[in-house]
Amino acid sequence: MLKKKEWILHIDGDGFFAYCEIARFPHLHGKPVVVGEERGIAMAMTYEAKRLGITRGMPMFKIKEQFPQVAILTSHFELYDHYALKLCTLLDAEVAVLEKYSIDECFALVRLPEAWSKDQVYGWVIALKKKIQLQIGLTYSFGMARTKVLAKLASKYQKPDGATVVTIDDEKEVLQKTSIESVWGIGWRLSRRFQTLRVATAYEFTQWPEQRVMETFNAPVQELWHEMKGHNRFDVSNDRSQSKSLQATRSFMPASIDPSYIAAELLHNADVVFTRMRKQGLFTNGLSIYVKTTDRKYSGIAIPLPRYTNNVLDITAIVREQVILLLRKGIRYKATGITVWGLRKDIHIQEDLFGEQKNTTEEGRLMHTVDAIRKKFGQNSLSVLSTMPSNKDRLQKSMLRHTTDKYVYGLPLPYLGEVQ
Amino acid sequence: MKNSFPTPAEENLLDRTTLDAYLIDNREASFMLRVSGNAMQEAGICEGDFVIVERAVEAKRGDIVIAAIDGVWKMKYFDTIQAKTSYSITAVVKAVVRKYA
Repeated sequence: MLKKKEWILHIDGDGFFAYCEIARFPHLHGKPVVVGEERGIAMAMTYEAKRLGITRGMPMFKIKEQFPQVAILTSHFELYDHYALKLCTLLDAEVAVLEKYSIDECFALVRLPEAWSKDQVYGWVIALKKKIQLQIGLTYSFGMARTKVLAKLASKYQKPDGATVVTIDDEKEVLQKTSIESVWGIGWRLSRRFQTLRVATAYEFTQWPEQRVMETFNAPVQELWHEMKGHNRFDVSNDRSQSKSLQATRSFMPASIDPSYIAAELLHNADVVFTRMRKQGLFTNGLSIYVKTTDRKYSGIAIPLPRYTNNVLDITAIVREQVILLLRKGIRYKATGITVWGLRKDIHIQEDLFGEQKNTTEEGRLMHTVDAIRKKFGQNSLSVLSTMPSNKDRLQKSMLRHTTDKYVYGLPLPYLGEVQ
Repeated sequence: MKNSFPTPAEENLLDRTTLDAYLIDNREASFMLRVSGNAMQEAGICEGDFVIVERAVEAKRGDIVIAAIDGVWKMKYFDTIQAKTSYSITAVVKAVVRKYA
């Protein structure tokens, strides 16, 4: 029996949403393209757009103003799901454990012969990458190393379309070239803290003695330090509870012009997402909402939240207010959706917020009770009051209709557009 | 004499329980497009049909392939496209789906 060595592989889609979209439009290949029109901010972009200086989160009106040559597209999450599923299916056959980290990112545990040289390991990565890209038609960046945090640095090392294997001997160089704020999990608050501690690169931090790390930082940063030193602290796990964003969308028939009905629909979706977040122990600090008209025009807005929460009552007022601002008089709407971003487990939040988190124990207990009642009596047994008109209507309809919108697509193949 | 056992060909069909399984060989490499125009009418592919195409297969002479030409997806027989152009082939047409009424 050959002795095996375990590696962690990180695979990251390059401008994923943007390339999923332009796969349908050959005339946009090689052009600057930005996705996220319905949200009013850039969610993803092609490398041609990145080169112009467009970044994630940039408002669309600014992009339209400064870069009129850029094509702006709306996003289609079902489509990205199709592509993500392709990647997972292909990878699953090649690796020991696969963790779908987000819609465009995976971690995998890989076991390769211990005797293999770096070139052989690299050859294996390249062969896998070619095989995947040829079949799916999108490019991904691959990074392989001893730990998750190092693998993530490796996949970032050359982007787009990169493949980097970081052996123990390479780690020093990679860490020296990595600024501390670009390490996975280091947010802006922590990076400010590192600034005051005069730590500029990831390597400088790894040179701290363990005692000092323990005295200065909480558990999550201690874990990062270990991971960068090559000690495995984060397992690759195939339970899919660690997604970076969650969403819920739903269309309704007949379409509606009634703002309170549409707001109730959206709040129902919010309730669904927040219930899922609580189940997974996740908190969010920002969300986007959108509405879709009967002629498939989207409008939407991103709403940053003042603090992390997983309590839907914290956001009902602002969501209600914002969605009503999005609606145009007399226009018929047929769907709403919500995406929550920047999801984190509570342990991380405590570190980064330094006590700025409002004490939500009482409301937390209320939501805990809500979840318990729903578990016992069903999801529809309790509603946030503002979602009521929508639910009543739903119940009547559900008796007539057994299919959900999810299955309209039938053959789950991405649609590539028209061919002549 | 009437044979009560299915012939091998029928047996094959019985194995295929879904349209997906019949129409798609390598799901991960497969995509759908809608046909516009009647350029491939002689191959029995008409305006409004769906074609299922597969990437990562080597095109053989006589295959119908798709390629991006002047910013548009075009369908061609493999030998003609090969003879006249140097465009790279994106995928091979594996199935056509047409719905009447």
